[in-house]
Amino acid sequence: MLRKKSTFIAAAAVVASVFASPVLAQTYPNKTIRLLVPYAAGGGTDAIARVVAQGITAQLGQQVVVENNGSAGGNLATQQAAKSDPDGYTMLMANQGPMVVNPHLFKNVKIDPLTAFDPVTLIAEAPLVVVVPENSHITSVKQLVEEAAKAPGKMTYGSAGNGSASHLATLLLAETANLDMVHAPYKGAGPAITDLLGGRLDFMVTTIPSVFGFIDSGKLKPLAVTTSHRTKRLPDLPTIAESGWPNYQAAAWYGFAVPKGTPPEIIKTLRDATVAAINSPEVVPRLAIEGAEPVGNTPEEFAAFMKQESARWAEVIKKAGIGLD
Amino acid sequence: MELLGDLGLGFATALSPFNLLYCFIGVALGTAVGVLPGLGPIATIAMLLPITFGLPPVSSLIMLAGIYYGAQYGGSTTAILINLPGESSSVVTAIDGYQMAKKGRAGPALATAALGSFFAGTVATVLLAIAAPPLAEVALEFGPAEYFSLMVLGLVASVALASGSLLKAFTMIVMGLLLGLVGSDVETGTQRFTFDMPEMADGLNFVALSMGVFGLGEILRNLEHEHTRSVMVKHVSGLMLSKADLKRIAGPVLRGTGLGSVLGILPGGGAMLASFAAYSMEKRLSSNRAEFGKGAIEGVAAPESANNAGAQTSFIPMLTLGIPSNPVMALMIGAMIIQGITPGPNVVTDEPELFWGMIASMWVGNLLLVLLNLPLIGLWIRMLTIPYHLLFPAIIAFCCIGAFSVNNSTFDVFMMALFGLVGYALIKLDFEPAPLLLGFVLGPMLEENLRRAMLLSRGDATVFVTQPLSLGLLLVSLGLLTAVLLPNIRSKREEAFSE
Amino acid sequence: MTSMQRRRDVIGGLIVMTVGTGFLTVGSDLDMGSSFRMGPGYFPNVLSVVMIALGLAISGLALRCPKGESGSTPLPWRGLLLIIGAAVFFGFAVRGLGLAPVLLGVVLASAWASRYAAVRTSVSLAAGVAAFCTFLFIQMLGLPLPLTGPWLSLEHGSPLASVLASAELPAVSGPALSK
Repeated sequence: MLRKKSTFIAAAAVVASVFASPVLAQTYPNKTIRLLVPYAAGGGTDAIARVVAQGITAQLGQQVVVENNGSAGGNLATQQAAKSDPDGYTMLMANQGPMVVNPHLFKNVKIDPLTAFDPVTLIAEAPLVVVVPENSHITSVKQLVEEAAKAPGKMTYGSAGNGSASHLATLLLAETANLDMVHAPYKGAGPAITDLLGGRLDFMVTTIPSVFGFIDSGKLKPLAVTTSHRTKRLPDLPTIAESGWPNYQAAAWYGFAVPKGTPPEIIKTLRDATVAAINSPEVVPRLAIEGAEPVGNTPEEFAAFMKQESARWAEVIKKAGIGLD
Repeated sequence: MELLGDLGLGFATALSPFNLLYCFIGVALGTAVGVLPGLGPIATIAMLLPITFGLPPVSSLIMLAGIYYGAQYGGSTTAILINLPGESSSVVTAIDGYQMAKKGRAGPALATAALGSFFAGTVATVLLAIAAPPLAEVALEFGPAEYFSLMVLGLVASVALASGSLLKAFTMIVMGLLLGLVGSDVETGTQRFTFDMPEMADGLNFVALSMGVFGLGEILRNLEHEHTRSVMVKHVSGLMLSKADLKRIAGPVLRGTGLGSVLGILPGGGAMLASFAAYSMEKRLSSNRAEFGKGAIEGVAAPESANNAGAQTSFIPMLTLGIPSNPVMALMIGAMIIQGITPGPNVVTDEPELFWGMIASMWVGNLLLVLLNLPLIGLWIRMLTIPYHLLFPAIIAFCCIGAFSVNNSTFDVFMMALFGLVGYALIKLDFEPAPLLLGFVLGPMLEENLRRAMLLSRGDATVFVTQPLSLGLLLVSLGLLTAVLLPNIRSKREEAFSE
Repeated sequence: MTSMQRRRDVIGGLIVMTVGTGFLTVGSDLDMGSSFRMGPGYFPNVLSVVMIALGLAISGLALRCPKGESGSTPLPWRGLLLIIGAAVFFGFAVRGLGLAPVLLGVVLASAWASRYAAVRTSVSLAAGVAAFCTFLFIQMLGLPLPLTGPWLSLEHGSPLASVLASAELPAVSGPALSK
């Protein structure tokens, strides 16, 4: 951060850490762990982070403190985490936006999240849902696509912001089905949903908790979910893949990562605690509210997953020409 | 009669000892963070969110709501006593409230704020109880075109705030609008005026701007005249309102409450708009027009009633639709989700205890706030007698922490320092800072909604006049603008002729 | 209009014009779009031009007024330096030093901006504010800031520890406690 160590100190620190690390691993964790969340407090990601943090606290017997910083699309928190000491006392809530989307979207991302971090585990995946207003005559994704194809540049959709999961999932649909639609970005899903409810937008792809209340009360009609399989939260809802685009698949995902160079024993401790936490009876139902299902894979699997996601979204962003400066 | 049953359930919930305790903790904490310069309800609620995990949903939401409207009360205290509005909604209160304090009338100003807020809170709570769902439907009618027209009305109203030169007030609004544009453009994501700094990507921070321009700027000005500042606090007159005062505030409180209740329902800065729309309206209507800007009690009564009414009715879209009308409501929704409650239209039917309990608790909370705040007035007044050279270093410390706490970012503290210099320069050059802050808040919304309206109408600009709501708002703006400009032009002419 | 007001408004107008020009220059490479499909540059550029016009009007109106005697108030340099400096110091050192020490510094520094400052009251005020704030913000509200920061820690690798260590070694160049 603001510290600038001379080479001497750096060398001293390396020497010190070599001697210190076995001791460190044995007693880890012996102080509060910081979990940086690259989203504002109160959102879906924050909710998942807090629930899981509590679970890990119970597992490790050390407090896991959530620190939110949603500035600059989460890039600030990501940078801050990358620059922290790789001692297992700083974790990053690693998800889609900051890890695999922003580097292709923003020019001023100063780090490569895929190399600056050691992945711990993928916590959960949550589907997004395609919704239309109550009085829309559209009843299926197939019909939505047909109507959009008939009148290029006419159909409008809202999103939680440029480059948000909601925007990208719609872009992917537009690309898969070769559609030309008008994108209206908002500051967060809330105001976009207001305009959708008021019938000023044709449709929207968004997270399940943001619209579940409206689906439940009939104010919005769900058409499909974006994941490759159906969700337990809305079991009757088909997937987009089922609806005729078998290759379509998009999800919001949440994982943990630690700064590069964290000792493997510590990563293992963290991963085991996380996996135990996300499968505990306290956490599972909370995740289910988000429509999220626990994953808990190995660091290697998570790394491969992120690499694949990064390549995929890079292409979508490039094709759509939405790269930002 | 169903309403009575529902309200009965609500009060039974809100008055249970446990919930009453959390309501009290909430409003007391809210008052405290509202009074401390810089720290606002958003940062506080965000920091306290984890604690609410362990509480039952109703209690935790009652407490969080208490922090929110408690902070509205507390915020006006700081605005009045030290001219430091920590919230956009108390910017206007600072104008006349601080002038009153300077004249030794801090007591009546604080009492007006408390009583006006209580009255407004009561009316708005009743409104919430009897008409929340249909009112929420009105909020859905507000699309980008309507918001744009509303923002235009807001801008026109903020010109009327100026007590000095209209030209300079207008300049400050434009400067505020420009500062508000810093950050990512919502429509394209383009970075504007950020100089490639990720810290600037989300725009300048309101708290940093306000703490700098109002807080540090004011302190620097006071240090220039240190001797006069210490004299001013010696003659603090009566704590309570006189009969004449009560007569003067009755109208403004009623009108402010009405305006605040209506505008508060609208997502996106409704409460803030309400406070200065109410001020501008009183400035037009009042027979004491000349006193505005120099310590008119109406200038405290109207905006304070309006912002508290607005704060209460901003719960309507959140409770009945699950739509956050401001960042605090977004946090409340987050708290609900964490508690396992799905926000949305079904909360009323699925969680009647929560819905009615919260409504009842708001009234209870407002009552607690009055009981808490009226006796505190004496204490606050005594605070004014603390020698200024002991007060201002503490204010600076709080401003620093406040600016930091919003995003946990030291960048915002640097920004605050920079805006401290700007604020001092503005004071020296005789520019009023209030219109700057309002322009800053309105600017991004104005642009965003204008462009979104054009986008959704496929470039058809007539959308602003073909939508009845939007047309109505534009006509009101036009009327207000004429009302503001005409007397000015006329007086300028008279001045010119007399020379 | 007095001469001081006149001078003030001429300068004020010039500053407004400068700010407008600044925004216009920085925003010049933003896409203007069209009136029907406004780009990110439309609003800023229009507002910058309005700003310049307003600056011109302010200066112009002031210049039209007759000249009078000139006079000026001196700038409170000590206050400016100490108070703005205190805020900058907070931003700079709060993560490194921790909340308690940095608040001591902020309060002490800013207290000296007043002509009534005295050592004993300033120190007790600083201690009081620091104690109250650390209790409220760290204990009660859980603000993610350390009480005392890493710069003051004696762990291996921390700057302070390094300073102490380097003091025992000969030939170490430069102060280790940089920035």
